[in-house]
Amino acid sequence: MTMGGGDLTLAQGMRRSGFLPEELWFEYVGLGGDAAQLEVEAYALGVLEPDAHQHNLIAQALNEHFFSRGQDHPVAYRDIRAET
Amino acid sequence: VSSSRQWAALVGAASRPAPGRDRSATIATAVVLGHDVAPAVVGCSVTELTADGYRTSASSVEVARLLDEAQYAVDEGPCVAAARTGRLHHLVDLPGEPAFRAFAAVAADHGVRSSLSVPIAGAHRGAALNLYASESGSFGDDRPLAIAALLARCIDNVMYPGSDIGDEETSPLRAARARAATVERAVQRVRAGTALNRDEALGRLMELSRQERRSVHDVARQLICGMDPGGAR
Repeated sequence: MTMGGGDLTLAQGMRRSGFLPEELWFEYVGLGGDAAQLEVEAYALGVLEPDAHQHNLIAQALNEHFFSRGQDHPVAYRDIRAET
Repeated sequence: VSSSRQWAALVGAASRPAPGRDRSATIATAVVLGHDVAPAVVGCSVTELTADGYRTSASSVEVARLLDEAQYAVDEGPCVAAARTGRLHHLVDLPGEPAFRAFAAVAADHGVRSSLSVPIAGAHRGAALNLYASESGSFGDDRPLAIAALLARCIDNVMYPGSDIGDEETSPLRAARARAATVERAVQRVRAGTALNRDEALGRLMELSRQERRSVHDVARQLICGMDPGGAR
């Protein structure tokens, strides 16, 4: 699986999005994510290190927000294959 | 124990409150993690309003407790105000701070030049997370404020389980779960006849979203309507 996206980290994407923590979590849940709200917030702030799958779900949640504002996936994904 | 393991333990405990868990030990961990909020943090504590006044229920170092108690003694200061009003109090440069002069003088004696007190929302009477730093402006950026807010919500969930509404079935959460059901149907569609596991299939949908510059929800809807966007399978 080749992943890509832009070059923003989750924390940078979170800051640029202006999302409240619960807004990010709703977007994440909408993708099928099952981590708790505090966990997603901790991943997005960088105080917890997500695995590649969780990272990509949060990146996608942020990128869905940016996409709706005309920006093309600015938050970077991680290559799951490279970590397995 | 590394900071990241302590964060994992705290966030896990706050996300899944369990009867019988040692709350005092978890809060003691939380105030130690307060030192991660900004580089110049020299103390972190939790203030609770009680029937008789105030108490410090946890502190990372003795100076944090002393600074709290100096505020309790005069019934004034950022931690008292945050606990009582439910509003955040951020003192950027204590020596030049016109409010809370008594506290500012005690803080200066201990080399503290800025402070941040974040209310803990679920407390019955009021509570606050307090951070004290040796440099002016230590909490001025978005990141320290966001980490302090996360820490305060973790403490809230551990100290006052059931007060957080984050997992309740609110309208936005219901809408999110409806979108997730559509994505899940698409994931099953991608998996059918392949060796992909669920995470890989969802990754495939996200990859298509990026390649086709479309929302992943659009990709999912198209797929379950019988079309195969970009060779999803």
